[in-house]
Amino acid sequence: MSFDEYEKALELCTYCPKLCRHTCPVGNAERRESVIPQAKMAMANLVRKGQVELTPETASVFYHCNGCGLCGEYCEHDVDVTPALFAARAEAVNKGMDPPSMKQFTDRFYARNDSLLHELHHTIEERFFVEEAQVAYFPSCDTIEHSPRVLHDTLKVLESVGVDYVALHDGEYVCAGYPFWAAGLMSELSFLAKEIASKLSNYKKIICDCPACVWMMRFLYPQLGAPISAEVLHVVEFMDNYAPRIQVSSTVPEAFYHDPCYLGRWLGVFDAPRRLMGRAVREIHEFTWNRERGYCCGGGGLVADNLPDVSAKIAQRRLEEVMRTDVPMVVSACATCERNLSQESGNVEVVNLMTLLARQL
Amino acid sequence: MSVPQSEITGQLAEAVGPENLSSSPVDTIAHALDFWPRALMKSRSGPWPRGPKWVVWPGAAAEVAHVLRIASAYALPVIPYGGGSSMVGGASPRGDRPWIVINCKRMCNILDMDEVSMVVHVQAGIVGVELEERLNARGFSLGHVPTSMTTATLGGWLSTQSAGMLSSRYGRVGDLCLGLTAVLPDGQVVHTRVAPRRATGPELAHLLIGAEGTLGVITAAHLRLHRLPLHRRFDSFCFEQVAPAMGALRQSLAAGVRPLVARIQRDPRLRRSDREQDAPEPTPADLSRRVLLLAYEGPVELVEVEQEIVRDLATALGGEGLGQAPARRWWGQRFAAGFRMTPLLVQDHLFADYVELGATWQALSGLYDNLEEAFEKRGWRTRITVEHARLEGASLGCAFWGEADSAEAALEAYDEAWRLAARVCHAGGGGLGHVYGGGQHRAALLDDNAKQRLAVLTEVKRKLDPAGIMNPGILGTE
Amino acid sequence: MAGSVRILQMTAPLTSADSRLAELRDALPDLRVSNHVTDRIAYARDLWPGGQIEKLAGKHAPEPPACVVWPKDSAQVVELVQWAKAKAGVGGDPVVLVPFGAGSGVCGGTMAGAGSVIVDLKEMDSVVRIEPHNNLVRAQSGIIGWHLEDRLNMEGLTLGHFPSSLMCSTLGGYLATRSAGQCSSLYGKIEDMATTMEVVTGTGEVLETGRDMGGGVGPSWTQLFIGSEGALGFITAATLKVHPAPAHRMMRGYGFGRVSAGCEAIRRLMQAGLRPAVVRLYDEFDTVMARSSAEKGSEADTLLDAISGRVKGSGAMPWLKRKALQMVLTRPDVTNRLIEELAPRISADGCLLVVGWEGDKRLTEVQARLGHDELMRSGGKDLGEEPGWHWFKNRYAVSYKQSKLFTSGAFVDTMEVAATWDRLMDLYEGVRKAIAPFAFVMAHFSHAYPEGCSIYFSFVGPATDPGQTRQQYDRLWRRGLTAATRAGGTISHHHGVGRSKAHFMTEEHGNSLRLLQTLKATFDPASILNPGVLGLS
Repeated sequence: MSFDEYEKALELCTYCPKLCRHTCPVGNAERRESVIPQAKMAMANLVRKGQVELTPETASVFYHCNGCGLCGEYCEHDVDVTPALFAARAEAVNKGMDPPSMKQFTDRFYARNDSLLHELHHTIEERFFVEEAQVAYFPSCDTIEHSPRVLHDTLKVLESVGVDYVALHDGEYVCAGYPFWAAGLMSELSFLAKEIASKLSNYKKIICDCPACVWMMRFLYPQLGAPISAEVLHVVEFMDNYAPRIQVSSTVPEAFYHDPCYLGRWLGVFDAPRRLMGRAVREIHEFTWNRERGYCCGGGGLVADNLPDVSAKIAQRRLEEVMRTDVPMVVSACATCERNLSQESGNVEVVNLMTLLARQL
Repeated sequence: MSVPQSEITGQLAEAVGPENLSSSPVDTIAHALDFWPRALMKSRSGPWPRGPKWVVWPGAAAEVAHVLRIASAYALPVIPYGGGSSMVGGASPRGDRPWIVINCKRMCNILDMDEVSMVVHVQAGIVGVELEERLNARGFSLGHVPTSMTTATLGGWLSTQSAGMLSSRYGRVGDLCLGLTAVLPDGQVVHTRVAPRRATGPELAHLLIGAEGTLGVITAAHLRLHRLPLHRRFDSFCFEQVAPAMGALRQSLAAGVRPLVARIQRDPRLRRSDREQDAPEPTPADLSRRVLLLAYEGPVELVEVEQEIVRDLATALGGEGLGQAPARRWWGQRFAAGFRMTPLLVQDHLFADYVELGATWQALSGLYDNLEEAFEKRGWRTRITVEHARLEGASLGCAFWGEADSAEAALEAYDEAWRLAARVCHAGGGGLGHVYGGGQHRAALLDDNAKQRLAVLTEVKRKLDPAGIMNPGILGTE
Repeated sequence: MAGSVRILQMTAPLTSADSRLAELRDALPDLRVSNHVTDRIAYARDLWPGGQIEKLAGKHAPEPPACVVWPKDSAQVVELVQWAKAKAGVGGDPVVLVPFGAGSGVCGGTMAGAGSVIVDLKEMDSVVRIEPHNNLVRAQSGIIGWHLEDRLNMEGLTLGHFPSSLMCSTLGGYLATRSAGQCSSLYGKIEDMATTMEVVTGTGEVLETGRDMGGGVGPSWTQLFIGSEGALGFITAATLKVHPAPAHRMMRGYGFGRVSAGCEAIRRLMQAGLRPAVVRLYDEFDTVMARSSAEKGSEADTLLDAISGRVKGSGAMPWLKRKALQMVLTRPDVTNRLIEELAPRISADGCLLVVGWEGDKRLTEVQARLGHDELMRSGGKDLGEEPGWHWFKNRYAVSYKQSKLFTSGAFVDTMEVAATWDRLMDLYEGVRKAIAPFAFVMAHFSHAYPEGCSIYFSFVGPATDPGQTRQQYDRLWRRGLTAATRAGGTISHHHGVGRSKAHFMTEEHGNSLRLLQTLKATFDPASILNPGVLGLS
């Protein structure tokens, strides 16, 4: 997908009266006109048309996007800002104009991958890694790094409903490559996608705890020439069939449910996590911005790495509504959300849905 | 500075015609006082205050302009004068200066009547009741009915941003004004243009509305009208306390009901004149009872629904329906309040006035109780009415009166009462002044924010009125 | 760091910006400031269509601001004003401070030219307090309208202010321009909602313009700062009336043979003492647009469907559509005449009037019934609920059409005028005739009052030749506004004046403009606040 393919979208945004600006987590956090979706797209367009020179400075605004896609919910032209801006990032990378913060990104990516792989084997008993299994559990980087207990909890919940045919995928990678996409490193992503696709093609089903991994494998991999024949599901989608079998010993009185962007808006999975959560929580509180309009935790688009202050403000904004109540818990189904929200959540506990279920068994 | 008075007299005569100019004591004495109780009290034992040097009756804005140019040239202070019914000394000369009073009442014509848009263009010297009657004759009403209806002029109302008994439905008089003509201190006649609404800068008429003649003389206005109602309904509810009565009113307004009249006062059945001869003395419970009086107008089906909504809310808060009679009776006597104070002012040792303040609903019941208590502690009598109710709050009209040992002591008590009222008001989150303007009296009593707003007015006045001729001393101006 | 970037068409030297930035950093070290090139481009324009036309020609930021600052509270605004005042006293380049909300104005109100300092107020975007018992909210002015409404909805309240810019404009912007929303006939315009505001004047004074409850002694500074477009001070916070979120809503459509009959019906409705939430009457052609806007897609397409499809009475072939587009855009005068001729056939039900009622259930129902009777007595044809709900569902759709039109080589703009009822038809005809030679024009009547109504003209013109387009565009506006003032109308009902209409302020206000100049001299004696808007220097 070359940059120019987004011409129509970029042109439309250039002349649009900023109608989606109120949704943009980055724009709301920075209060900066140049980082609302319309302005980022307009800048990409100016660069595309050669009206403004592409430099690390002009390219910098492309990185002020958490890729949540909420703006698209308020667009009547069906413009997808995320892929367009990620393509603009790719353009910057190709021209060597990516901002300094992106240097040595590939090296850092693989260094982290390797250390987390090590961590994974350290954390999880070897009996869970099985070469030949019907269903492979593809664990994700943020889960291993920030919420390793989610791995145990997921396995525990699966066990409790009698699913014994899931094995942890014992591969070389713990990430489907979303960071590469968001970094504009398309050739790195292609390489990784093909690697992973070939490794996973033996399974019937693949389950991931990271919604972005699911979306990448299901929708982006085929476009990169790396289709995966197996069905790729998020843990929550997979578990949904077993929801009635989950027997909890106690329930939590109340909690908010936070829709992870990729699980909700991108994959369209809204009811399954609520059904599962309903097994363990008596009253599910909804955010005003929920489901298709779910507001990002601030973790996507590499914003958490490049602009930690902005990412923190986005999390704060997401939690404002919870803070006005006495509800002590926010439940999500994504390790990135869990990490990003819990940094700003004070006394409110942010917990992964799988952990919550495991705890109440 | 010695003022060449005969020269000025000659010029003024030229401006308005000799027949419309007077320096006769008959006229200057008549224009020496307005209805500020403090000044009236002072005049009981003291000397009758010196009136203006000249009274002029211009017949048109151009003549007003001429007068103001003369005043500017000689730096003479000018008072725009309507009905002279100011409760705050806004229309009476002060200090030892040669004042010109511009009596606007010759400018009393309806200039144009647009029955399609329901807008009247009328001169500002017209007395309220006359305007209303002339409108009524054509099937319209202004909807502005203050107690001063029979004496005040449109110009006076606009200058003080007056609120009438129907303000819950029709707003203050400034809300009815679509445009106005005013003469600025240097004699320029300016017209703010008429539009239903606009977005072309600040609403400039509002610089003169409420400015109490300190920036210019309002000579005409365009006002929005409505049709005389075919139906008017009344209703009354009795509550054990004032707070639930306020609650019922507040909730009704939030629900979107637009009552014509909505006021809370003491149970009128306790009024001596209304009581049966052998009725027992009222108990404390009787005395704390409050009655919500309501009137509605408009299409009959709509009025019925509004009545129903209020009835439901009032009943839910413990209100007992008293039917139409008490409210209808009040309506019949709606101008009577204007007459009640005078008897209290004619005796040397008595004092009386009317504190009016505005507050949001949450502050209101506390203010009501505190004000009542503070006055009663001093042995002063009060009657507090909740009026001018709107979505976010209402005003308290607190009539007070008391007795002192002497005329001097009465004056002192009067001042003390006002200081007390201001203290209670500010401590309780209220704002002093809601209906009558500030005049000579209120500026010093206001809270700091309100004082700052008047200081801003002084700044504007320096620009528009460098000679300081327009009603100096009013609203804290010099 | 900005100096290294080459921006085509950017005329202002970037170095001056750097020096201004350095001065500011020196004077106000705690103030957030940027002269990042992307910021200077993003803040260089608002949504004035005249600027959009220039963008089509590649002029994205011909006169970029020197820098952007984000004060975090009114104290910082005061510091900023003090600094600018001090600079004004010593000569050199004058400092110009421009209050900025979300930049969605359509009159160039924030385009103060090269070297200006944009003061983005969005750091000041909190809801200070909600007082349900007083039906009041206090909010800082940088909050985006949608976010404020969202927050109120959480408490079961509504502000009742729904401009079609709700998603992309701030409270401060509403107040500064006297904004109106779609439900203005029930909840009023923004000037009816605000009871008091905090402003920082050009003298550096912080002034609370009124009381929470409104009213008080002396002139209403609230009314004098509302609409001041940043020329008198910064509006930093406001207290506004709020209402219980409506428990009930009813929508209905009515057809009227002619625009004038529809207007007469609205007049009678408003003068009957009823308060509909929504009143919108579309003229013949706008009716077609309004009823078809359900389908996503370009206004150009709808336009073409309407002209080539419906008028010809058959499914239009693509080539015919394109031909029609060319005609629309190159010979608007012909098209407008054609439309007039064909008006009755374009829309079978004549002009559409959408009426909506909301609030308490009983009040809503009785008013809807009374309103219905009144409209039927006025000769309306009952079209049922569907056209009403159709409008409601698509009430924000119209703004989305702008970019489609610009990107297909046309310009689009709107002119919102108003007059009392006696002059309304003259205003309609006058402005329509004045614009017709330059653009394809349609109109709707919304924001009705007992004494008058506003007219919202939308027009589409050709934007193929950049240089000529701007000339034609300016001519259109000059003629349109001249016609409006001649007919006794106001040049703006709710968009404001900004810079694009500034030269019409004398026609608009006559000699009462002096009062505005007096306010300017009082509140901004050093002329540091947004000079150029409202015709003030």
